[in-house]
Amino acid sequence: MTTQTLNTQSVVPEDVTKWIRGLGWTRDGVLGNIAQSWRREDSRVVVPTLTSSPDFTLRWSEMLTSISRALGTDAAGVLLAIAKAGSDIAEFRASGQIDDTLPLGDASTLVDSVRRAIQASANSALQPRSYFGHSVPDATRLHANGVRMAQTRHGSYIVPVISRLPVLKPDDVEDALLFEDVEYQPFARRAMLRLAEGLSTLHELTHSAAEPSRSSITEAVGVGVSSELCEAVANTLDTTSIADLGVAFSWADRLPARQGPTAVTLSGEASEAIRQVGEVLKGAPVVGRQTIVGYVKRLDRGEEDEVGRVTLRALDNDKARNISLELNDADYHVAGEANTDRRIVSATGVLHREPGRALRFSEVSDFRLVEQLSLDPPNRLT
Amino acid sequence: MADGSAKQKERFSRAWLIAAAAAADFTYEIVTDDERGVDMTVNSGLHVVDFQLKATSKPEVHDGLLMHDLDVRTYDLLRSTLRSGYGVLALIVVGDDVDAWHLMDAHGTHLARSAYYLPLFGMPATSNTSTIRLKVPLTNLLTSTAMRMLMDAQAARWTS
Repeated sequence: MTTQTLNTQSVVPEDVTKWIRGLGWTRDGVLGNIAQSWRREDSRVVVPTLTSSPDFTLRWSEMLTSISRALGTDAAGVLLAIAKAGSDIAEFRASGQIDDTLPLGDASTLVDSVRRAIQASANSALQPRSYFGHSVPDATRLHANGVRMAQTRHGSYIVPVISRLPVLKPDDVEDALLFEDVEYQPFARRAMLRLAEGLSTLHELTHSAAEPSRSSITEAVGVGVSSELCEAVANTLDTTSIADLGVAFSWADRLPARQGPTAVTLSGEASEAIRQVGEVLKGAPVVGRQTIVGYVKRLDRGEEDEVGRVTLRALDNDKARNISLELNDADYHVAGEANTDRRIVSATGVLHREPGRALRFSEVSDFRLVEQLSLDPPNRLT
Repeated sequence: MADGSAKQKERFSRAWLIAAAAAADFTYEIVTDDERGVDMTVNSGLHVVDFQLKATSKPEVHDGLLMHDLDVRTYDLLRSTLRSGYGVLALIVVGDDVDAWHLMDAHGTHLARSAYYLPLFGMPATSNTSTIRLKVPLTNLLTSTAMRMLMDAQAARWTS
């Protein structure tokens, strides 16, 4: 991938400090929230951190010059490396009767299919469903608009899609622990993982001699397969010039995705099977279950009530939010213990997003304490 | 006798900053785009001082103070305490005869006339909308010692 293929305007100071820390630089000075001084051997660099500072752009330019000098590259190379370290990249490779060109209509279908696949995966990350219809939540729309398409490449026709991972911060200090949960992945990462896992599962369902069972199709909803994803892939495979669609994933260095698939190829011969999976999913609405992790913020149960109502504070779409759920007697006791001992809990169920209403979690199962996480500092755990 | 254009004065005025910075063992950069109110930066390797350069061949002096009317926009940019760099005005008084600006023989070099500085960092806000009258003490000569003192003031803002 060449320098100009990555848009680097979205690199922010936190991206730089995370990146240089990973390269062995250490912070040795602070100017309030305005700037930080970093050092590696004989090299020093000042990273401006306050974007509203009157000299931010001047300092930013100096910073890039300093880093590029230390690393023996140029400013564009530094920005490219920072952007790649903080971004997931999916490369959609169309192959078939393609040299360096392909029919305009097929190119249009390919790009539109990529956009629809990205959108379907973001939708699935928000709430797994077999069929989304016209439902495009703001978070999904923002994600689909936020990812960027790099320049295409020679050989087969490749459309690289870059998804930048934000550095997450809590709005409220009480929620800081939620953001330290190493299991939590930013929404942009979860959407890209859904794309990778969804395409891999779609391959498993449609590239063997045996026809997939209905249950295996509905189970696939939970990992990102949806009617829309199937349709997007099949549309590409049904063009005249594209025989196969390969998708290669590279995961941001800053946030390793060790379990994430790295490549999947969908063959044109499977196009009909892929459409059939999509039709099954469209005809039998399924809502996938999700697991949330958070702390118990509120408990509410009357003397005669069989169930207890609990408000959980958990991360959703990169923000800490209240999620209400009803728990049976045993689980309510676990929630009480978690609240008393300031412990973190996890729950699996179905998340309901209703416009203008608080988030609600139903069909709860596997409600339990998370062993390694507590609201208190580690030395108070024992 | 010509006293030089504003651009020529600006270019000539850099000589004083370069000399003082080099003598203090600092590096310097000329900022070609002074959109942010900075014409030159001086860097110690750890810290940076930002200079706005103004040159005049007709100095106005009252009671040992050089008067200079600086535009409020530049004043606000350089006085801000949210800057990473330490904002300073450098006022260079050049001779009124361009031919006598730079004279040199085997015994030495003569630049006409002198450079003065006024730290703007942390100065108070003004209600003026166009310019603000600044008073630069004639004792504020922009020597290498002064350059080190400005760098020390910038360094003092940082914590480890």
